[in-house]
Amino acid sequence: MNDSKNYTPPEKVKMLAVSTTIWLITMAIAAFGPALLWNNQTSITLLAIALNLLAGLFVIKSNFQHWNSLDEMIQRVHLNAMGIALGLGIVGGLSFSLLETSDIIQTEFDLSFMVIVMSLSYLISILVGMKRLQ
Amino acid sequence: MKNRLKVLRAEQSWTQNDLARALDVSRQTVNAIETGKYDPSLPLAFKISRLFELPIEDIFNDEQD
Repeated sequence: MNDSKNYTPPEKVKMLAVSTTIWLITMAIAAFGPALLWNNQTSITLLAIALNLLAGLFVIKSNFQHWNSLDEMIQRVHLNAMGIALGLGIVGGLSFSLLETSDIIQTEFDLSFMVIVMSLSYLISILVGMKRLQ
Repeated sequence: MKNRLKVLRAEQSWTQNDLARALDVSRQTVNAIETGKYDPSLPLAFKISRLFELPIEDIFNDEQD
């Protein structure tokens, strides 16, 4: 018999990687373009943001297809990781926000902190989940 | 949940990779089922049952460790 279904099917991973890269590029263009490329022209900025949104939808679709291509155990590992990442992001983000609005901490809340926390917790949760099932 | 998957696979002289291919799952999943770390879904249990031509209860039992 041939090799079994891969842990992550290469073609779906490639599609996810390509769509995420495109999304990141459009994000960088939308973030830095107004000041560096088109001198804050609103119409071009709106177009850049629309392109970024479109690329984001493509990422969601690719992510969904990737998840569907995984087998049931790996799907469960990813689902657990998503739950942990979402929980930590919401609970941690809101706690941080409360600390800030109560003037207990002076650091301004930045959405990117939450994105980093959620991404790292998702990654770590997948690694721990796979390790536990080995 | 305990199971006889490893024994049944050995009787067929299949590797974990062979069984994973036949069940359309990853080798990691076959390994996790064999070691009792993961309980398969009902559809996968039925697939295993059909593959080995045995009733599910002859492959799996809910006796706890």
